[in-house]
Amino acid sequence: MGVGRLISDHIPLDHVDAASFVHRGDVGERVRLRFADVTVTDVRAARALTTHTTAAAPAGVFLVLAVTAVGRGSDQNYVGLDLVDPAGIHYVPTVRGGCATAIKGRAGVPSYALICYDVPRQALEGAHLQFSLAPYDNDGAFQRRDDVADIDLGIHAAEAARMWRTNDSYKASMTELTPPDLTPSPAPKAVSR
Amino acid sequence: MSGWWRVNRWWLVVLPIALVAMLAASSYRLKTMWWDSGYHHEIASAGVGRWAHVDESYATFTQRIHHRYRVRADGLSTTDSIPQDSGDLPVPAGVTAYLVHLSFEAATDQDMAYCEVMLVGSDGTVYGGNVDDQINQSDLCLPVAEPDPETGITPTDVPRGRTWTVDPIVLAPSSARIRAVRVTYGKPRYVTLAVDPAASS
Repeated sequence: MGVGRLISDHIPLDHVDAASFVHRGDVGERVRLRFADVTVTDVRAARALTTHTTAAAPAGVFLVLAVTAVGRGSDQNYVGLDLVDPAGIHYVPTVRGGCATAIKGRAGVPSYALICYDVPRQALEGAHLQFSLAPYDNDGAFQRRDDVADIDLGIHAAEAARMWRTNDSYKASMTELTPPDLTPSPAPKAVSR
Repeated sequence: MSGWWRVNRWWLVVLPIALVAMLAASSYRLKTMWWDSGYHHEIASAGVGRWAHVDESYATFTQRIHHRYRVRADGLSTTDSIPQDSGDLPVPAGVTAYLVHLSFEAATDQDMAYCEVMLVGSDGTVYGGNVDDQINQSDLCLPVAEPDPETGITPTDVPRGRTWTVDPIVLAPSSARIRAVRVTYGKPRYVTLAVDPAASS
C-alpha cells in the first residue's frame, strides 16, 4: 500500500503524453517513418476519374495525389490517408472513381497509388496529407505514439483557383507496382463544367 | 513474532495471491494486444529441404481448429513476369518475384484453405502476407485450378490428393537475402522452412 501511495502521489498519472510523432514534408520529398518511406510525387485536380468502364464526377473537385510508399519490416496496409484542410477538417479518400482508399505496402518494394478526394473549393488551398498506418479517429487514439507524416501539398491561392476550374480527367488507379499514368484528358461532356 | 507481523499475518499471506490475481486479470491485454497480433508462436520448423510436421488443435471464438499436415520448401526460383487475368505483369527493376516451391501432405479432408506464404530475409524483414494480395493470387497453399476450356470459368473448389505442390509468388527487393519461408494459417502461429540463402542471392 505504501508503494501504491507513493506512485499515486508522486507520479503525474494524469499527464500521459500519447501524441503522435509527426514528420513533416513537402511534395517530392521522401518522409521516413517507422513503418515506411512515403512520398507524394504529384498533385492534380480532376473533373472526372475514369476506369475502363466508368466515369465519376465529383460534388466539388477531385484532388488526386500520386503517392509512393516503400514498406519497412513487413508488408502492411496503410489506411490513414486523410486530407486535412487549413480549418482542420478531415477528408477521407473517396470510394468513387476507382482510386485506392488504402495503400498496400510491401517491404522494400515501392507501391504506387492514386489517392483521390472529393473536396469543396475551400479545402484546396493549404491542404495537407496526413499519412499513417492506422486510420484517423476523433481523439487520435489509433495513432498514439506512432509515426505520422504531415505532407504540405503546396497548393497556394492561385493554384487552388486553377484547380477548381480544371476540366481534366485522369485514369483511376489503385495500388500498383508501377507509377500511375498521369496523362490528363478532357473530362467526358456529361461531367464537364 | 512481533506485534505488527502478528496483526498482519493473514494479509501478508493474501498479498501475493492478490498480486497474481491482479496480473492475471490484466493479462488478456498482453494476449490480445501483443501475442495474438503478431507472429510469435513457431509451431514447427524444418531445415533446408526437410519436412516440417504440424499437428495442433486450438480454439477460436467460433470453432475448434485441427491442423495436421506436413510441408516442405523445395526451394526458390525467380520469374520475370506475374500472370494476371489482364495479361502478364512485368516485374519492375530492383524487385525480384520469387516462386516459392512448396510440397504439402495432408489427409484429403483436412481443410488447407486460406494460408499465407511469406519470405524472411536475413535481417528479419518479412516479405508477403499481411495485406491483400496485390498480384491477385487467391489461395496460396491449395492447387491452382485450370479454367474450364469451354466456359473459361475457373472452378473455386479443386479436389486434391494427399500430396500436392504449389508455387506462390512473393515479391521482395532484389537486394534481399532470403533465409526462410514462413507458412501461416493466422497469427500468432507459423511454420518456418529454411531455404538455401544462395538460391536468392
